[in-house]
Amino acid sequence: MSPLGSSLLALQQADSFFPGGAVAWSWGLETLVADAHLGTSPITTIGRRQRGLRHDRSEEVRAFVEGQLRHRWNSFDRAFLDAAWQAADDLQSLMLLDAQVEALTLAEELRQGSRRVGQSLLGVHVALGTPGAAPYQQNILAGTTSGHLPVVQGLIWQKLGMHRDHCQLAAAHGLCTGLVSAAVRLGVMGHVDAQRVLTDIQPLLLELLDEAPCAPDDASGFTPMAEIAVMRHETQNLRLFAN
Amino acid sequence: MNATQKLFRPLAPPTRAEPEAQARIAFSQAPSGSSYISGQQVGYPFHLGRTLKLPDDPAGMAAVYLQSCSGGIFAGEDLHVQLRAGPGSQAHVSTGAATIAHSMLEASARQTVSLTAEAGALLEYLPMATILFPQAKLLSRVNITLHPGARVMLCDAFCLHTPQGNSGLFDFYRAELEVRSPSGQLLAGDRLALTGLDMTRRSPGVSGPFQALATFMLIGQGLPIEVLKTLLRKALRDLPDSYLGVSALANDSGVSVRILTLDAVALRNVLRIAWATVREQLLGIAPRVRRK
Repeated sequence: MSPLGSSLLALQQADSFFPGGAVAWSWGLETLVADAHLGTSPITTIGRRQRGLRHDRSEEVRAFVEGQLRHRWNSFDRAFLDAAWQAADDLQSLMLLDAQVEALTLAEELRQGSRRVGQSLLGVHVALGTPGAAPYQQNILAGTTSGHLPVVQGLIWQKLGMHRDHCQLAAAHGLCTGLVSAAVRLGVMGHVDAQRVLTDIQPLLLELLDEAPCAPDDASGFTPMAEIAVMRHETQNLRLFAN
Repeated sequence: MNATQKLFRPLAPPTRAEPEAQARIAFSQAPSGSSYISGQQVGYPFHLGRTLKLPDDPAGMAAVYLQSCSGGIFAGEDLHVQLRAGPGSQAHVSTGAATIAHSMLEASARQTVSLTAEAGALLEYLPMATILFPQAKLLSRVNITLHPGARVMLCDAFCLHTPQGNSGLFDFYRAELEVRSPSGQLLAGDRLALTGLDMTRRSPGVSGPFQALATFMLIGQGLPIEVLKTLLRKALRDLPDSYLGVSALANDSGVSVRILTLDAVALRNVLRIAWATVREQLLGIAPRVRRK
């Protein structure tokens, strides 16, 4: 596939209009806000911004997105996405990657989230007739594999013909968009600040993508505070999101 | 935007083969029901204390302290501890003090702990925290082999410390934990990798204002997960200077507690309560606080 064709597919797959089901998940953000670990700074006003006061809620959200991007997606999810892209024709390898993501994800609601978003994305591609989607879904339905998001992304996007780097770009951008979207819906910040966060995070995203992804055997993470928030979300009284 | 950071990888590329163990300890159950040390090979830098029968421990449990006489972990060291709990045995293994990972200018260090719990065994491996000094570079591995009906309780904790007159933070810390069945199937695991710089960012969702981290686990299959989660959440609710969560491990492998605290004192308090809560649920009696 031509680079332009692959880019166009990446735009479609990373678009929040694509019905992949990611909008229901906050990945710990909802509980961090409820526990007053995020979103307690004053709301940004034009006056504050004009005075150069940048420590506002969008700064906190940007730091949260950076942590998720740097310490979860880049060092963990990306490794499995890339490995799945390379193993898209090897069912046994894909299932092994799926089993590793399942075992190495500590928080139950993170595992559920990764499975459910992955299966939702797969379901859309089964409906669209994407090659490879239906057979993998059969294995999930048979209980022989889990269908975690990075594995499904690698499989499906390779089958669509997306280039390797475009897959990683789409996944990373989709994560960032989902997180800032959750922050807007939680009332932490407004739409303009959300776009500011997405713009501010782009240099880091490109810097991370400039390096090769690590192998699944070296995959790791460091987002303990978000993991704790997801664990606490299980018993949170009022919940807008699924994790 | 913060300064650029290379993706972390250990300075000493890990080999998957395990190094020769400096400490090998095996526990067995005697016909009387009591557990005892049935095999030990312990060399420098470790020292194994005598077997203790402690008040409020189960009658047959063997409790030992495994100490380091070298004063901590130093550059270039490759330490390996192997603990095996035979069928039906009950063992509690701890350390008498925290382990210091010293400044490492020349090379990184590695510590591997291999735990095997055979059928019906209860193995508690609850060392005190690792203290990361400035320029420490440590890879810590815990490999657990879980046989049917076995239970393993463990904690893995670290905190930071900069001695007076020094400056800076640790270089990197990587902690890998894997739980496998006897056939080698990966049941559950946890892999953390961070640098000192990561802690200084104080990012929400990463470490925030907290300076100490621990993971406590009760590992075993067929456990009453929902009961344990409820008990732990109740016991650990509203503890000061801490932020923690309780969750089920993958593949029906048990429960975990992730703990962040402002300092080592709060961390120790949370771990003691988690241990006592699980011990009481498993064995009917809470352990007495150890004087360390």
